[in-house]
Order: sequence, then structure tokens, then C-alpha cells
Amino acid sequence: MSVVLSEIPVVTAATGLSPVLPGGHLPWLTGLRQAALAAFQQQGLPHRRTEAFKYSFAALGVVGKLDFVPALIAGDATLEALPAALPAFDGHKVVLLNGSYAPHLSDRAALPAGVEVQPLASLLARQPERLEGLLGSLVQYDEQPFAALASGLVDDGVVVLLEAGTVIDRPLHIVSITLTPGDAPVMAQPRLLIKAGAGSTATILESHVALGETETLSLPVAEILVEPNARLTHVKVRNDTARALHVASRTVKVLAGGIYQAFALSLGGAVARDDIAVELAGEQAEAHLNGAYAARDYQHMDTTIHMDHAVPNGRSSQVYKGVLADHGRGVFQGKVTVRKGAQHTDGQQLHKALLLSESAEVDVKPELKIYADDVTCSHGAACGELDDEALFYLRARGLDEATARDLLIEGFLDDVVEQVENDAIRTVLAGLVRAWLDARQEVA
Amino acid sequence: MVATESTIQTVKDIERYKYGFETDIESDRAPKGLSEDIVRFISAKKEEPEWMLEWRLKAYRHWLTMEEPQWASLHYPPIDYQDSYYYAAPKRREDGPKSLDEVDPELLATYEKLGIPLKEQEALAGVAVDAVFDSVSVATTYKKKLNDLGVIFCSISEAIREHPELVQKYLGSVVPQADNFFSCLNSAVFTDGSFVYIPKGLRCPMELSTYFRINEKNTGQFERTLIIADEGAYVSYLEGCTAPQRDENQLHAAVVELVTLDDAEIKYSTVQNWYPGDENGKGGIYNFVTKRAACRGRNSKVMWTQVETGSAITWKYPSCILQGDGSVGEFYSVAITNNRQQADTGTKMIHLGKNTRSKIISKGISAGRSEQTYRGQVRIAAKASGARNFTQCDSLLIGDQCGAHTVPYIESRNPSARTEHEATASRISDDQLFYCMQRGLSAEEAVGLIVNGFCKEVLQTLPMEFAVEAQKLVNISLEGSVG
Repeated sequence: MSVVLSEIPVVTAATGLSPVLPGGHLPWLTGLRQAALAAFQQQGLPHRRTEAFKYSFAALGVVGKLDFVPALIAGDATLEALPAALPAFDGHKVVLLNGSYAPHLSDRAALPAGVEVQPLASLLARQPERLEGLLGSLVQYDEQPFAALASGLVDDGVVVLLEAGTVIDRPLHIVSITLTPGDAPVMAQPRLLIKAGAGSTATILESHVALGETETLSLPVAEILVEPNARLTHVKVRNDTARALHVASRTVKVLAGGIYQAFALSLGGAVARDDIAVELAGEQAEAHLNGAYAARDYQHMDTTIHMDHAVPNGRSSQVYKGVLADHGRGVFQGKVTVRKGAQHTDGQQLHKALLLSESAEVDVKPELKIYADDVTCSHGAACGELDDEALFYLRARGLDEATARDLLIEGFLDDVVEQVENDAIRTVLAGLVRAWLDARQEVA
Repeated sequence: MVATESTIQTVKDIERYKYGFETDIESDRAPKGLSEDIVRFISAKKEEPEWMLEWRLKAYRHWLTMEEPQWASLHYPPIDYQDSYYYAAPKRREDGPKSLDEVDPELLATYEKLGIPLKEQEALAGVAVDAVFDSVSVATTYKKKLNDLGVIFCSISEAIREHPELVQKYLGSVVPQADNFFSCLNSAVFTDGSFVYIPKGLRCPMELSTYFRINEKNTGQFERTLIIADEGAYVSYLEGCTAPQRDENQLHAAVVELVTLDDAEIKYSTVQNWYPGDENGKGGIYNFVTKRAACRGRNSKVMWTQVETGSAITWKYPSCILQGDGSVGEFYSVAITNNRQQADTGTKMIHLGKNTRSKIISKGISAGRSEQTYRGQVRIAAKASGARNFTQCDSLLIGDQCGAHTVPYIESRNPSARTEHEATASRISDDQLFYCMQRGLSAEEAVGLIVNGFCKEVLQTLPMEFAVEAQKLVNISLEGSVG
């Protein structure tokens, strides 16, 4: 196992580096970084025997082969305006460039009262006590070496604090751009911390985009706390360039009566992995995770979910759909745990994949772990190609083969995209799906 | 009063020990532990040819380099492989009980519930039967008939001596020696098992069963079974029986290999009811089984059916490698765990040939404090155009202290292949129970009825007589889990 990454000076010397990083004078933060780095060093990069990366360790092997330079050392990237690859979206905006807050691209002026959106680094400098016990409190490093590495270097990101009862009028757009300032492959670790206070309601759109022709490694780590009766809608869109690697970790805790509703659209990039862990920690809590992904060329997309029902009366659902073209490979691992005593749990999961080429591959591992009897849990998984009869139906009505196929693929994905409630965001997502199909047509 | 009861219990326990199933440790048993010498000893005892010994030694040497797998969700104390006997000569008849009167009444009560005929009860309990018991002669009659048809049905040791060319060609060709830790151990020390060869075009007229051989030898701790169905042949093979079986060996590691050539079909049915340990999880058999079928020929078919109710630990994944175009693999399973039992079982369907089809129906019932896992894999290789898989895994939980888990792996590399997977977990609804009980059934009878309905899809694939017994077995296994 070659872990070149751990030999990068900044990783091995990270403890010495800690004072230089934002909040380096804070013992609790230094302790957190050290613990995370120790967890990373102990696990190393995923290998053949790492069960959680069974289908993705090989694709992620490139991480160990290239000398990724942390953005902190690589130098400042500059960007005048938001790139076109990013969904044009009218809303409150915070932009991170290689994980660091970019004020000139952000727009936080019109945020309503009770909503605080702060760059992590500046909050650490001014009021670190507000983050103590919150930052790093949710993420677990077991089987998440990348989240451990990112946490060991945590420097900047976005902190969203919603006071009890607040309602955000328009969605908040959090943008993370990865871009190499020089020639060396760059690594960034944008951090996201959301605390939705009791009874608050908000919609957040999280966009990730990598630019340029050099390899980039983005390691976003998100920690989200949904307090009692809060309702948080969280849409993530990733639309990367061909050389981008994206390994994201998200940990969500939903308290009594809270609702966490998430959607993810994954497009482009070389390798993408999304680890999402949700704990339904209070009764009547709900979590709904939906998503769509489309891979072509040699793209590799992995979604790994752990839905943990810790207490009774929780409800969860997952619907993921994937389209695999060319040599594209999709991975979906979804685990639903019902802990002892978590009676009256309702947990559902569905994954469907469409294989469009002889060389495409999909690997699915849905998992149920149940320790309570009075529950309703199920999962379903299906893979196959486009339905011949549906294709025939459309062709018989005068559509040419390519258009008919596209229409069916679009319909397949739109089925989940339509679950997104916010009209503006749904329109953006549908547009991206359409653009993906059009781009594919051009190649063909 | 309490003291009197405990005395009675002690006496009973002594009796049980006396008339139980312990064999005296005599000279016909190899010393404890495992070494090359023991492997040589076993091979010599079995009067095996040199190539067989070499084969065993190769497996043993490789086994030394292997590590026991830890991935299954099973918890058991570490097994000391040097603390077991690897060879014991068959029990002598005079060691067994002289008549049913000497047999543990609890065991007899169970036989009664299963509706097992008296003669068979004697055989199962290990009663030293003489001319009275005619199953020996029945078996002999059967054997002659099979012989005339060209069917080879004998113990694996006999096959090694009599049909070396077939054994050499097929042994280890489906489950290679180094396949896994337990199969490798088995390859080194197996002492018994069955060998079946069905010649071309023959539809074996009767169901073959280890049962026929029960009086010849004790089924060993490390069984090795090899079944070959030549072109166009068909055989239905039954393993085990519904009656609870006692065995002083705690560790079992069997290997079963099936081979089907063009248009051949093997139907392999298992009912496993080894001693599960007491309600506190003390004792009980550890059952680590490797079962695999190679559907080598075009349009060949293998159907695994299993009813797993016994053993403290079950580790078993009967699988099909669908190599031949158009071959079919089916897996039907009912697993019931109660008290402290743990089962990690499932199947693998590896689609290599075109238009191969597989179907998996798994029904798991957990009660008491037991833990059960369905672990399965469906793999569609790039060349398996038109492959088709359907999987359904249902778990039923009885009580809030048990666990039911489902861990399927689905890997698809061919766009024209279709895979479907469904899994559910639920409990018996109060409505169903109420409905049954309102019609006069006791809670236990109602649960039995509902569970039998839940398993029906699997049970009906069993041969008829077996199915009837299995249904009763389902009820018995769940005794004490409700009310």
C-alpha cells in the first residue's frame, strides 16, 4: 500500500503546522486535528480489504499515486467571476475557493434576521467558543479515512446557524470551487457546518465544481444538526471537470420531530464518493435522501449511505437512480440500521440503475441491520437496460432512436429530480440532466 | 422440595450422559490435534492411494498459511484447532442404546411430533438395530437397482478407491482446496461423505439420500460430497433429516461440490437440524459449510433448497457458478434461529454464460435472542448477455431481542442483464395473530401457521415427504418463542 499522501510534509508535520492554521491557538481544535490525523494514519488509504471501499478503492488508488498539495501550500487560486459550469441561481450566496472563503464572489447581504452564515476561519478567529463542542462533534472517522484527513487539516468553510423558529425566504447557495493555482494537483477540504435551530425552516443548495485540466482532490466534510421540529432541505449538485476527484463526507443528526430532506445530483469528474451518515436521534424524526447520478467515459461514482434509526417512530426513505454510459461505473451502498428498541421504524430504500453500454458496470450493496421487531423495512434494487417495448413505442410514434433513448433516460432520472420541492432548484437540476444528455449526443 | 427436584434432574442428566451419544475413547481414535501425521493417519486408515494423500497434504500445508475469516456477523469464542479429534473410527453398534426405552424421552417426543416412523426413530437415535430393522435390506435393494442403471452412489472413500478417474477429475474442481479457510481444512482431513455419478441421459428414478447410508457409517465431522450429473442426467439428492441429530463434535466443516454438464439437473435439498445448544447458548454445533455448484453445461440446472433450523453457528452459502449458456441456478432457503443461535447464510450466483438465469428466495425467521444474516452475491459478468436474476429476501422477527440482517451484493457488468432485488423485514402482525386465535388456535399454533405460510414458497420446493416433516419442524423450532 503506497500512502504517498501521508508522506506529504504537511500531513506528517501537521501537528507542527497546527498553530499556523486558523484557530491554531485553541487546544480543543488542535486536539481535534491531531485525533483526526491519527485516525487517518492508522487507517491509511482504502485498500482491497477495506469493506467500505470494496468497489471504489481501486478508482481512488490515484490519490495515493499523485502528490496532492494542500491548497494552503499550493498558494492562492484566483477567480474573477463564477464559472459557467456552476448552476446559475438567484439566492443568498457563499463561495469557497479551494475551501477558503472568497468574499468577492459571495453575497450575504440580504440574509434575514436569525440566520447567520459565517466563514469558518473568521468565526474561529473571532468567536471560537461558539464552535467548541459543535465542530467535529458529529463526524466519525471509522471507515472514513478521507474525512479524517480533511479534519486533520480543517481550516476554512461555511458555518450556517439558524436561530430557533427562523425561516429563510430564498435558498442559500453554498458554492465550493476547486482549482489548481499552479501545475501541481491541489487538495482542498471545504468544511460545512449547519445547525438548524428548533422549528426553523431552510433550503440549502450546495454546489461543487472543479475547474481546469489538472487533477484536483476535494474532500468536503459536512456536519449537520437538525434540532427538534426543524425542517432542512439540502440539495447537493456536483458538476466536475474530467480530472476531478471528490470524496465527500456528510454526517447528519436529526432530533425529535425534525425533518432532513436531501437530494444529490452527481455529474462529471473522474471519481466521486459520497459518504452520508444520518442518525435519527429523536422520535418522529424523518430523513429522506434521494439522488441521481450519470457517469460516462471512465467516470466512477459511489454513494454510500448509513441510515441509523436510533430511537422509535423514525421514518426514512432513500431513492437513488443512476445512468451508466461508456465505461462508467456506479456504486451504491446503502445501509439501514434499526437499533434495539427503535420500534415502529419505517425505513425504505430503492436503487435503480440503467446500463447503457457493454462496458458499464454497477455494483449495489443494500443492507438491512435490524434489531427491533415491530418495524417496516425494505430495500429494492434493480439494474438493467432501457425497456425495448418503451423504445419501440416511441419509435413507432416517429422519434428517431437517439431521441427516443434520451427521452427515456431523461424520464428515468426526472422521476427522482421531481421529488425536489423548490421550483427554482428543480429547474436547475432538470437543466443539468438535459445538458448531460445533449453533451453525450454530441460525442456520439 | 427444590432439593428433591434438583436430585431428580441430576439423575436424569447422568442417565442422559449414560445413554446419550458419547462414544468411548478407544484406540480407534487418532490423538487430539492436527498435524501432517494426522493427515497421513487419516489417509492410511482410509486406504487411500498416494495421489490422494498428496492432495490432502497440499491442502493442509496451505491451510497453515490461512487465517480464519472474520467477516461474517457471527460471534463465537476462538476455535482451538489443536483441541479436536480429526479421526474416529465408526461407532460400534454395541455402544449405542439397546432399545428406544433407553433413549432420552425428550428426543423421542420430538420424533413423535415430527411423525417419524418407529423404525426410523431407532435408526436416528443410534439404536443398535439388527435384522429387525429392515432399512438395511431396503437400502441394499435400492443399491442394486441403482447399480444396474449405472448410477454410482457410494461413500467418497469408496469412490477414491473404486473410481479414481472421476474423483481426480472433479474433486476440488468446484471448490478448490485453497478456496477458503474451512474448505481448505476439510480438504486436508475429510473422512466421509457421498459420491454420486449419474450417467448420460439418465433420470435417476429415486431420490438419493445420505439416509440410506446411515447404518453403514456415522456421518463424519468433515463431510465431503461430490455429485456429478452427466449430460442430460437428473438427480434429486437429500441431505440430513428433520430429526434432531446429536453429535459430540462441535466443529463441522463440510464441503459439497456439484457438477452439471449439458442439459443436466441436480436438485439438492438439505434439512439441517444439528444440536443448537441450550437456551443460554451453551454448547451446540458450529457448522461451517462450503457448498457450490458448477453449471458447466448448456441449459444445465442446479436447485439448492435448504431448511436450516439447527446449529449454534451456521456459516453457509450454497452457490452456483453459471458457466454454461442458458444454465439456471436456484436457491430456496428457510432459516430459523431461536434462543442464542446465529446464522450467517445466503448464496452466490455467478453469471458467466449467456442467458443464464438465477432465482433466490430466502426466508429468515429470528426469534429469542438469535441473530441472523442473509449474505448473498449476484454477479453478472460482462459476457453474460441476457442474464436474469430475481432475489427476494424476507425476514420475520419474533420478539424484540433478536436481530435480522440482509447484506446482498449485486454486481452487474452487462447492459442486457437484468437483476432485481427485494428485501423486507417485518414481524407477525397482531391482526394476523388475532384472526387465527379468534378461530380457536393457540398463540403458538397461530405463529406456526403464519410462519409456515411465510416459508411456503421454499417448503414446497422440497420433495413431498420431506416437506411435510419440514413444516412440522418449523413449528417445533419456534416453540417457546411466543406467549
